[in-house]
Amino acid sequence: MTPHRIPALTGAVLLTIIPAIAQAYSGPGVGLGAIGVVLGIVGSVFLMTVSLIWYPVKRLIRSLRQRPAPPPRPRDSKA
Amino acid sequence: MTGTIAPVLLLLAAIVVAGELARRLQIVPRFASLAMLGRRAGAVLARRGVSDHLKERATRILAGRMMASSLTAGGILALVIAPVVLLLLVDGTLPLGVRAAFFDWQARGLLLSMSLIYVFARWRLGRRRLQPR
Repeated sequence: MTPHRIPALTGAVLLTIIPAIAQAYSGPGVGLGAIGVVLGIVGSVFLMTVSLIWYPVKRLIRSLRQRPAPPPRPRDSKA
Repeated sequence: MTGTIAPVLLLLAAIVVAGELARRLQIVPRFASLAMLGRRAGAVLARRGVSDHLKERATRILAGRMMASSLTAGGILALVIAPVVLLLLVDGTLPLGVRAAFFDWQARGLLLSMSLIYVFARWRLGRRRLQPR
């Protein structure tokens, strides 16, 4: 543990001794439910990002790589 | 115990209403379906032998379903905890002694024991209703 973390940890432990400060208790059910909702929203945003950005970009890169090279232009015979 | 028994009874009523709301609105199956959607999305992303076009469509559909399911579950969660939160908010403007009871350890112990008795009785009643006649 680095030295600057020890005062912070000590302060956090001391704060837990005074329960009247926070008054922000949430039970395990509500807490886990809120975490589940947040994870669901983050997961849906991630899936939407994958669907709207990753796969189209991947398809574009693949099509650019697989595009056949243009045939060489025929030389002008008069030149 | 500070105050009278009335704030404890008010809190118990709010907790009973919250429990009944959680039971009626089926909050646990909604979170289970949300978890199932997450597992299915992971399986779709990790699956091999499926074209990217199909994966793109499937992830788009799953993202919509997951967002709808998350928002529904969050709304139901807010509805379920609403009675207790409303009671505490009302106590802020109209002093009923609910907050004092909420942070009093003896009142909390009484609430815990009464809530456990209610949950046990409700569980037995629910099981009896499920029995075939």
